Amino acid sequence: MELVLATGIGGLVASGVWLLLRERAFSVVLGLAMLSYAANLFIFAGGRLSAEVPPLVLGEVAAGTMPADPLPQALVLTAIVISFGTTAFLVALALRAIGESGTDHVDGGREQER
Amino acid sequence: MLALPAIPLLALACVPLVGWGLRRAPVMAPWLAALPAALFLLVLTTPDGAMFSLHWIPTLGVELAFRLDGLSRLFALLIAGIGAGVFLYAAAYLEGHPLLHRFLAVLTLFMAAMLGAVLADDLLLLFAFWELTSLASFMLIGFDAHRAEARRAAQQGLMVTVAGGLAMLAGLLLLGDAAGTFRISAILAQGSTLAAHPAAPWIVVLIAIGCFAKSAQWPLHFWLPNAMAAPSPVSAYLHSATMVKLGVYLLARLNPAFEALALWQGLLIGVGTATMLAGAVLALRERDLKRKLAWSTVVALGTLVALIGIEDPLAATAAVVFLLVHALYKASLFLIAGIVDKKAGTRDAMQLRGLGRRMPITAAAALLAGLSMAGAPGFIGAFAKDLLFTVQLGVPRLLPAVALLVNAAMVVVAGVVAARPFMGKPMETGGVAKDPAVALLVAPIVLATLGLVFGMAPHLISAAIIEPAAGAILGRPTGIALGEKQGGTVVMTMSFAALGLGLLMFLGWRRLQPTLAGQTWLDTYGPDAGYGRAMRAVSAVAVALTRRVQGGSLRGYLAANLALVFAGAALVLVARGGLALPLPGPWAGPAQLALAAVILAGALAACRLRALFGQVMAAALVGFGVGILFLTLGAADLAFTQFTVEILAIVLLVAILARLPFHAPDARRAPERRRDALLAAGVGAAGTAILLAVLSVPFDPFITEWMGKAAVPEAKGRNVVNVIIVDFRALDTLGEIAVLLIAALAATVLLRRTGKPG
Amino acid sequence: MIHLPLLPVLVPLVAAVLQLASHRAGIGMARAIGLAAVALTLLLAAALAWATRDGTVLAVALGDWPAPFGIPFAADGLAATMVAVTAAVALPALLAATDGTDRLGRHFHPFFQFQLAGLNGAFLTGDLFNLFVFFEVLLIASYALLAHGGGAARSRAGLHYVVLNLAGSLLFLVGLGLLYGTLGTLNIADLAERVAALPAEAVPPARAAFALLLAVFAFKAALLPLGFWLPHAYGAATAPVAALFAVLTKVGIYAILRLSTAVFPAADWTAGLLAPWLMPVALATIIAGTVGTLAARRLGVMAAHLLLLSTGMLAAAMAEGSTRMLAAMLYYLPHTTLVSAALFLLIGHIARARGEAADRIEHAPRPEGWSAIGAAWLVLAIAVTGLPPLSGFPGKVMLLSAAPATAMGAAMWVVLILSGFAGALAMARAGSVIFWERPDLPPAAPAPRPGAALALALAFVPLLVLGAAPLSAHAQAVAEQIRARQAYAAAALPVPQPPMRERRP
Repeated sequence: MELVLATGIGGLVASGVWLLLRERAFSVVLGLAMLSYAANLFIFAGGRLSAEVPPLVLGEVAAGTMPADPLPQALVLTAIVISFGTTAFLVALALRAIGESGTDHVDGGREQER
Repeated sequence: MLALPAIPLLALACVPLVGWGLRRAPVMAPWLAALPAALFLLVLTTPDGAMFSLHWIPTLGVELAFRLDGLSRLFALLIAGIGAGVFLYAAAYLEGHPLLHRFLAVLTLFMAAMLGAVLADDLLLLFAFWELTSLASFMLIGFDAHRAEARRAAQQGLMVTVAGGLAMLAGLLLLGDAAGTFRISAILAQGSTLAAHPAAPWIVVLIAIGCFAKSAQWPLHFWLPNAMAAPSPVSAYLHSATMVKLGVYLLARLNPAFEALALWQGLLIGVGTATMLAGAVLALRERDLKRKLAWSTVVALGTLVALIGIEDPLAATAAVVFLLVHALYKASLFLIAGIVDKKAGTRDAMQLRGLGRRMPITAAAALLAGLSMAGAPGFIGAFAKDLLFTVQLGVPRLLPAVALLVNAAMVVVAGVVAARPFMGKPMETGGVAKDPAVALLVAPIVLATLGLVFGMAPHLISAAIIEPAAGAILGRPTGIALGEKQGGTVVMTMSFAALGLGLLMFLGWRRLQPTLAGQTWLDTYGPDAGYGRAMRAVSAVAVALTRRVQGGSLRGYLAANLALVFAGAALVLVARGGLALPLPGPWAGPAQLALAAVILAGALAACRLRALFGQVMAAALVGFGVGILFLTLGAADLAFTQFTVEILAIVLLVAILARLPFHAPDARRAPERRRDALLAAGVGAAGTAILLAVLSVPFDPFITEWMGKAAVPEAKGRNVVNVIIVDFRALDTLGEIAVLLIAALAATVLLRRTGKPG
Repeated sequence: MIHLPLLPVLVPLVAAVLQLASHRAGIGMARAIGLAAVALTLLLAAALAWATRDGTVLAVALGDWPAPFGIPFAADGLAATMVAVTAAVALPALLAATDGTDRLGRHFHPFFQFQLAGLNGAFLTGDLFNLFVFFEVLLIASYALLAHGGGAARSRAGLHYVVLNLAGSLLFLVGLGLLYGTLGTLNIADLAERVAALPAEAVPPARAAFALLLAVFAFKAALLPLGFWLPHAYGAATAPVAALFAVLTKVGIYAILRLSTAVFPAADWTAGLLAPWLMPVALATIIAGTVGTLAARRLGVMAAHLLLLSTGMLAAAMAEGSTRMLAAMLYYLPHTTLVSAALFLLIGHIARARGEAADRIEHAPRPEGWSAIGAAWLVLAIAVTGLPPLSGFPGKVMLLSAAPATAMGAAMWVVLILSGFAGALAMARAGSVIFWERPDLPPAAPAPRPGAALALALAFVPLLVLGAAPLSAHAQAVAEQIRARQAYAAAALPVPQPPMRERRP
């Protein structure tokens, strides 16, 4: 399972990076989304994948079944919501930038000021 | 001993008062001269060896420490004494100028900084005052800021002195480290032991660079003539009598510690001699009165530096006498040049003729100062010249010949500046050329006359001023009294030869000058032009480099960052042999394998598809896949959150898709795409490798298990994830809500103003 | 007051909520609430600094859940200093914004308060994941503040800034996941214990996880080559926002410093995580900042590069890492942050007074009453380039004299001294272009009088000089405290943990 998951995460990271580098505002948003799935899975995997049982305390814990690690789940929950918020803002910002410069290229008209 | 620190600090405290008061009552300006006059008396009456110290930054060992000895007294007297004259002169010279108050305030600041620098007994305190003088010089040179030449000169002077100052700071810090103290008196008390310290060569070179820059030594001499763009009082005060001597002061001050080093002697004598020669040639070539005087100041400064490098009681005495002589006549001549400039309307030495009849008093003062400069018998300049020749004859090889030439050149300068403009047929001046008001004449006359007075009665200053100062340079009493006949017939011969040669050159100067001025390579390849080239090059290189580093392309930034971060992390892992596969755990079921395949397929599709809608759907596929994966791995809460967020995101994205072009072609060219693919694959592989390494080590479930155990009894919750979110780690959740709130607010702010997409 | 460390976070949060709730009452209400909250935070920061002056570490376990299970807030000398610096920058920045900048867009004031809450939370929390959350709070607020005022250049710079920082945040998460996976905790003080007890086979992945985190912090601190984003973003922000952003890079510096002092010294295997790369990177940052300062054609961009340069100096000091150097760094940090913020505010004032020429370094009609602004420029130029007698000088001297007699120390000397020179050159050049009169140009409208904000920001300069002795002594004490480690660990993790915990495969 670990091998499958790690490979899957690697694939997600790669696709996220590829999309980020695509220089189109919308692709960048999707790339960040991919990276955020990957990041969440990283945290989740950090607590190990030993169980299929949710971390609920419902009376006696059956012998031999270990409930899943609840802490990474809580962290991922926070992370999912935060990523959603920031991504939503990014979309709004990208829309605005597109509206102002007339292109969805992330470098805009490449106006340089220094 | 409160009088001692009061000297610089009182002057410093007066700066805002001067600026504020004179703005309201500019007529009071001449009275400001009372301040330096009072300080002069204070310096005169403070006993030798007076000390004062107060801790300033104890962790750094920096003290507010002052000390008065023969050398600092000589300098302080010059600063306050000449200051009194210059302040009086300046008030009249700039009478009615709208910014007179600012000029005098900065001049006061300068005087305070100078006094502080020569009285400071702490290296860093000295440095602080030192840099303040550079700053004051910058503001004073740039006083006529509407002239481009003044702006350039101000900046050039600042840059050269600040650059030198920073080198010097390095040297001073090394010196403080080597000596274990920043107190100058304590450093000097260590005798010549410091010269044997391994860092001594560095200390000497770095400090010397700072002193050379400040005291306009070759090849850093070029800023001084340009500084003549400043009003004449500034030229007289800062750029001949005092500030440019600050480098000489520090060299003299530290001489006892380093005189044993061959490097010290060689550096000072070598650079000093080169400066004398360069200054003499350039002085002969110059037509502008003030610039001509400035070149001769360069000569004098070179002479002083070389004299300090010569370890001999006579040399120390010569340095002190020459320093005093030069300050008196040169300040006087600059003030006279200012009068001539104002009255005759030009500073071109070729044009200036016959002013003597219309400006007799000015001419007389000029004559006195000029004679002192030329070293005429009876003037103190004669003592200086005899001492110089005596010392320079003692150093074989180049120096005697250089001394002869340079002294002859000084005679020419004295003649051209102090005599020639007043002799001969009167020139056309538009009829305004006449002696100026008394206030402008007092200072040049007094200063020039002092040259004669001290020449006639050397005992006035010999034991009180000259000997203590020379002793401080040497590190022990010199035992030399001024007025004793120095040297023999050789010196006499040389003296006359210099005078004769100088007179000859003076008579032929009208022809000599154009020939020298024709040597344009001196300008083209001179350090001044080099400075200009260097400044332009610095700007060009900086712009080019910055454009390269900050190309302004997001793709470049991202690629560099991701590549570096992941390569770094992977390297750290591999360097310790961290590549590992986890122990075979529970095998993935077919459902999970299928999910992984779906997720990967979605990711690939998102990369390959061109239609935006397809990209969104592909991403959604990944998102739902991840959610279901969570579900199969015992994370139901996560799964449902993921689904909710995913649905929201799809709704949001589809809603805005209507406002975007439907297709988003890849902006990259094929080679760029290949490079990106490689980078993406590399980053993904690095992530996989690191994750596998993490998963292959045993886990520490301590916290998690505690939470599982504490959830029900202590937090009264059966869903541990929920308990963590709302209780154990409630602060995270608070932050999360804040993020959502801010994001929503910010997005609405942005979208409200969105115009139509192009 | 046992909850004192929480208040610098709660006060701005409450203020933000109040401002949102009283949105209809007009901007005057928002300003009043904001200024009151910032003033109160400044007082709280002073109280924190006072309470921690003798080496006490104030700790709060949130919800009374003992660390490492709950989230501790811990204020030691370092955290108190950072909170105080933040508040000291925020007050003049917010005052400056009330000149109308806050009307350029909506909700400026709540964003500003959220930003403060995020900053203070980041400095005070004792838990790495909580640090991530506060990072996000301060970043999302900073995104909003950067975009404040609108305009194409701002949106574009904002887009780059947001994308890069979001990518950085995701890497942060990845690093946290890996760290939790190897060490089983994210509590900073507990991390030190776990690090000390880590079995050998877990060392390589733990090192990789730390490396990832450090890289993320270096990115947030805008260290080269990760810091390309800063100058454009800061140069595009409105002046009060840029001034507040002067603190932002210090969060990255703070995080590296915290990890490298509270966690890394616990075991030998962390050696080499920072040392080999941080110093070269820091020096490269200084050089890039210097070069950019010389190349800048706008004052705002120039100030941003000066900020980059100073961040590099802090990083260099941290890389060297001796107690003496840390003390120098902790003296230099408040100085450089406050002076940079003042510089941004001054540049905002200049740009407004010059009208169309804005902050471009070119000749333009010279407003009347320009000399007071010119004097302020001079003061800040001296302070920012580390020339005597202002506060940059003791800071620079402390850094220089703490440098060791090694090749690295020598490199530090050369770079620090050259950068000081280049800074002086750039400031003098820009100042002479902008302030010295030009007869060929007609005089412009009278310059607006420098407001209370500028006066307040400038007032820090003499304060820092006069207080050089106590401030440097304080920096020394804080450096010794974070070097000693025990105080922070004992407060943030009061219950001793079992030295060896059982691991399951």
